[in-house]
Amino acid sequence: MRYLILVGLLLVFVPFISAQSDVKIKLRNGQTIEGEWLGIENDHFLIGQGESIIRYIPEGMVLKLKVVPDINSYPGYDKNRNILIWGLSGAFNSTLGQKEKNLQGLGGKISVGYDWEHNYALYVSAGYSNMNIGEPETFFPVSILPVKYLTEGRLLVFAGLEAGMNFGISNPWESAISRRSMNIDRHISWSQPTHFAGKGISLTPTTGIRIIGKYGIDHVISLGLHLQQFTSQNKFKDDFYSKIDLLYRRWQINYGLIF
Amino acid sequence: MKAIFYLSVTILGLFTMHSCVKDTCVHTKKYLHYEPVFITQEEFDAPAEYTLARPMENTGTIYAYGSYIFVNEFQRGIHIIDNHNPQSPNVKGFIEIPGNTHFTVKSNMLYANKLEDLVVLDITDVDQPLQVNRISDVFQLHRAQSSDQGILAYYESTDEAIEIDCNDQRYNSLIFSFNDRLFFDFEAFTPSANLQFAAVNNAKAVVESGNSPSTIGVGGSMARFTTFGEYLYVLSDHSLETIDITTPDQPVKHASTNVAFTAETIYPFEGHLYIGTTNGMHIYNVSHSGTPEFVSTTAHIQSCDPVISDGEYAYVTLRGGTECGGFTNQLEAYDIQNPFTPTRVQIFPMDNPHGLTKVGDYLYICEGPGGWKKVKSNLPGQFTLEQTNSSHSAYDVLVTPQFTLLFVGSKGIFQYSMDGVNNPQLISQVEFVLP
Repeated sequence: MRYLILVGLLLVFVPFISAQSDVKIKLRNGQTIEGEWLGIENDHFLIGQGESIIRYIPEGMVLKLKVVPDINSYPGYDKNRNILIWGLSGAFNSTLGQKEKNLQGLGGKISVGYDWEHNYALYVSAGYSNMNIGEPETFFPVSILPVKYLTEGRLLVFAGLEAGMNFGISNPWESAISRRSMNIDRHISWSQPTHFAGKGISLTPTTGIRIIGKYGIDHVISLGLHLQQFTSQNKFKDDFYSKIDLLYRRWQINYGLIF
Repeated sequence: MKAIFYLSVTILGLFTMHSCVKDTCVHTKKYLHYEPVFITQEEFDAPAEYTLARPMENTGTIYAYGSYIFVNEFQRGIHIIDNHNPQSPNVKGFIEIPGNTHFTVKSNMLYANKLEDLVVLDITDVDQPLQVNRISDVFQLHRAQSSDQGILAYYESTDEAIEIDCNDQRYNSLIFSFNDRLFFDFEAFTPSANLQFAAVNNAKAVVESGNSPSTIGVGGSMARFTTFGEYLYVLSDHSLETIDITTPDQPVKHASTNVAFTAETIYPFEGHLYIGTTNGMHIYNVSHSGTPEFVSTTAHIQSCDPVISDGEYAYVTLRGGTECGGFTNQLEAYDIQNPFTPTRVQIFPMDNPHGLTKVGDYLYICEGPGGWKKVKSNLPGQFTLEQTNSSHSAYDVLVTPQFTLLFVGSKGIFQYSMDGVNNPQLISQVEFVLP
């Protein structure tokens, strides 16, 4: 699974990092040339490639020319600076190397925050998260995330520390028939006293990239180590004392939009 | 370049830290832990002894006789409660009978097991119960086990909270060994919720009879001992022992009958014995010679199933899970007007049914931790739920000779007035001291 995550990250990040072209020419011989548009001189198109190469392409050889507008010229580009911002995000989390089987979860959040000169940002979020797909192991997370941007330009690499409180909506010890089974072969169901839905704090050191986007929409991809404590106790503690102390330790990958 | 640097650091982190990204889970849970308690041969042979009242902790069989309530302290003996004033029952004393789990009362004689032996106590004077007889090797369910330390009389159960990692192989196990001791899942082996309740249910007989309350005995619906006519019937796992009690203080073994499946409860009515087993209901005829004559068996899915009857219909509660197996929880009614061919006529869904009784047209059904329900029997039409009471747990129920409804829960005995049958009112409770 971790290799899939890495490949996914590279596939997403590399095009943004390497993207510099603003013109694309298709020649009559089938060849395609990309580069920086430098102008027309003596019926030749001038295309810059890197710092030292300038290609002179006769106008008659050009079959098709596509001008890629500069990102700065897009309407709404980089509008989320020094302003109240909103966000929507989804997250996938997973253990790695759990003894019997890895456990995965999915979640989503709505955020509100503020950006200071693409230097710092602060987000307050609330949403829904599941920590065990297919099982009623669900939470209502509320969190705060201060962020420090480490780079400038269109790609803002950031680091942050998200602190939250996760209120249990349901858990496998709450239900009479559903049990969390880290030992998958030992899934036994019998009448159980129900637990409270439980709750716990969380801390997520996170790093990622915010890509300043077009039309006032920025994209955020981040990776974090999600540490979440969870405690749930039996309702009938006088008769059947039962308490669960769980520490979720998950890799968490997020994708979100800022607008 | 800066962006690529930070990304590289992050990806490197994935490789170096992946081994510690695992959930850790600890379940701290109360388990029952049993320690064997041994007695000497002299103590085993000694007659039952009447002592001062003691707190009720781990109760089993309950039986109402005249104005007294007898409550089994599991494997220890029998509490006596003075119920002359149902609004204020008073715990009078305790009969020490090591290894006792079941008993019944008839004609001022209390018949109880002492491990596999049957002891007979004269309770004419309740303040001075006197053991008058003892016959050996009657109750096959709890046989004495001897060792170098003596005779195993009972297990001292204590509860202990221990921590188990959710990844541990013991996690989710009902029974496991830890530090050379045996632990039982507290939830699955609730002391009061198991098969410890016994006695007979003659609620309908009480309601319909004009007998003086002082001579009538009534018990719950999860019995292993019962009497009918001049015979005492003792139900072990797979055998039904018949004891002749024509002379009440001189019981004599009369017959032994094999019973199919694992038998759990016995209920007498109008010449028939209704035996609840894990896989069905047996009907035996005992009206001829006292010796049980097989009449019929009605099979059902595996579950715990106390059974009662009103002569026309038999009512069976099926409880799934725990030690009973199966997953069905429901009330079933069988038409037994022809006891040779019982036919199921109605089903009513329940949550966790245990003991039950019937008063007039109403069934009172214990729902374990969920309390009790009052269900109107409209047979052959459908059952209708009339009342749900979840203010206390309830595992067995009986109607006392004083015409009060007596529930046994995990925390005590709860007595309800039946003056208004449609609306039983709680009038008293005797609380247990939980260990």
